[in-house]
Amino acid sequence: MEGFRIAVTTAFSLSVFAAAMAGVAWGIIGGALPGISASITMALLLPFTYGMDPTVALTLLASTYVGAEYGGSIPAILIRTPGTGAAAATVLDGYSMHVQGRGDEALGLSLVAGVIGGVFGMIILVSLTKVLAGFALLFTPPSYFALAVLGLSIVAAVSEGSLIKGLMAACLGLAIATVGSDPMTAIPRFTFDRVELYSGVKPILILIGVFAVSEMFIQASEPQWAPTSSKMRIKLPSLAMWRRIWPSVGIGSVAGSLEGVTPGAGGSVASFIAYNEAKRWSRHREEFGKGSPEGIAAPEAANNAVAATALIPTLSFGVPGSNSTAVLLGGLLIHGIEPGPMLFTRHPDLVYGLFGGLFVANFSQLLLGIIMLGPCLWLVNRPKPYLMGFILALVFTGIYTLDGSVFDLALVLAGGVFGYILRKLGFPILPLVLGLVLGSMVEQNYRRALQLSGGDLSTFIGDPVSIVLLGLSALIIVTSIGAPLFRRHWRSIPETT
Amino acid sequence: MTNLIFAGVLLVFGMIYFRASTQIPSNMLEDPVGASGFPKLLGVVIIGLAVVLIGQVFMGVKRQIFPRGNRSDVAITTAFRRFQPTLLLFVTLVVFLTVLDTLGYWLSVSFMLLAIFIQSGLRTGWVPVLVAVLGAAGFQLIFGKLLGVQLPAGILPGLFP
Repeated sequence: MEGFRIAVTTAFSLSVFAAAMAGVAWGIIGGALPGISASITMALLLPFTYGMDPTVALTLLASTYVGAEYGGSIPAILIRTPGTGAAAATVLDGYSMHVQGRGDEALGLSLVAGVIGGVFGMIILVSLTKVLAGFALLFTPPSYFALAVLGLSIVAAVSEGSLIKGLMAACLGLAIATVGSDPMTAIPRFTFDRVELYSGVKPILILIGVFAVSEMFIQASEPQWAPTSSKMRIKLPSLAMWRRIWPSVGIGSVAGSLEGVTPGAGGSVASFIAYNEAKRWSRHREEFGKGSPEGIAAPEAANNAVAATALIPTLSFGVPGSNSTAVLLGGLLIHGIEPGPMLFTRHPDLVYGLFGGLFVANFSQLLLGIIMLGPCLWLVNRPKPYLMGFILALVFTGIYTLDGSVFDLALVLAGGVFGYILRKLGFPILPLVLGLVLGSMVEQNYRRALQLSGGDLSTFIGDPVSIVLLGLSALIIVTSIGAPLFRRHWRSIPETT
Repeated sequence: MTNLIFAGVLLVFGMIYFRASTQIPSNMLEDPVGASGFPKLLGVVIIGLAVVLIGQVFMGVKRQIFPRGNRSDVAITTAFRRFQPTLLLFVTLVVFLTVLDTLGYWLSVSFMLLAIFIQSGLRTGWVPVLVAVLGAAGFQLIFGKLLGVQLPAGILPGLFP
């Protein structure tokens, strides 16, 4: 009840309300620009959240995520180019509807389904995080270390690319996190006598580099996206249409909520699962791929539900489910707040305030989705070099505002080059970011655990929570190594017999 | 081949990282692991993973038995052309960071924007120049004036006092 009171009070405070609205508006714009994913849209805001109250900053970032999930469907429907990965499934029927002259209807379906999916996901988020927070007191330094190892293992295993590449990316992230003064003894490590490195590499610099700058490097070699009509409007679904799409919205909401709590899965997987399930259960199966309203409602409900439930592993365990939640985690750490089971007992105002702000964000999306369509279409029709130039100017100016350091800008650029090389060679980015963000927590808990046990490594096996989590990590790694081998062996059986 | 080179680079990085971690000084007040313990462990894991990656690349090459054959000069030129815009963007950003303090924020951002516009294929003319100059001035006004951020003044200190 206390949590509900905090949520309501915070949601209607001017700063949080404004942050939720601004975040959704910014997210819709970012999501609508092809190539600018939700995580990049959020990363661009990170430098500006430094001076903000943590609740306002997190509401702004999380609302941006909510807005970007809807924004991604605008170019998916109008120019057959998904603005975000999660909107890829929307292209299948959204663009067909647009070609049939029903683009306004498709945009309306996407908006309404997204809002319902988002609110459904929020209800799951509020209900589950409270339950998970109950486990907080079971966590000791060995179990915190094991939790971080589990998070890194899951993300490395489920990210695109091979497991080895995922693990390597995670280790590189952890290695970057070791730069700077040792957190326990203040001994400088890997600082190369540069004063700027004594306080370590700020995760925000690498986050922005690997997400935003590397994307600009990729976009530099990509062609200009197609122009679209700038006189489009949104037509909200009629009652008859609503009767037809509600099962698909339900399927999408459930599929998205389930995928959201799975670290590493993300909105793209959720929207395709929702699309397939909606098709399987639909009475108008033959219309899928040819402009089916259900084919838009299901994936859009799913990716907005993901935006809410992906916060469950992020807030409860400090394990982000996607790139976007990894940026959100970065936002938490900027304010010195450690995510994980103790977050709910140490910072209830922040958590419940964020929930309140997110409810505002989800509902305001209905209004802002209509208002922001015009500006989005105007931006999509601008030449891409203008957008690239201004995004880079915004990135470098935003980082410069933090400390006025050109060295920080060079680190962002280095992060961009590093991210570009990793992406081109098929290394997943999420484990790198996670390693970087969780690096300090992993090392400190590892050392604290050994300090308490007098250097006895069996402390990690002796702790019941730790042994379960480490066992799960081992299982995940063994399974992801073994599964392809098993599949290969299974396929070879008919050939040999 | 690129994968093999990168895996080799990671192996060398792992070795250098491990070597550097052995040189981290110790402290009397240290815990059982010490400041160098975790980086050493990480260095070993990175070396191990790099070796596995190299092994994977070799196994992949063996399986393919060089199906693509030798890449001709034409293919290399095409690949270079494909990466040329990215390379140009990188050079632009390096130059931007180098001249930022000397030229000042407004001029540096104007030049950076203009360089990006031109190299990305926008037709040269007055419009991109105006967009770059006015865009940079807009950023300067928002961040320097409205938000009160101290931006590098450079060679035109009186322009945005």
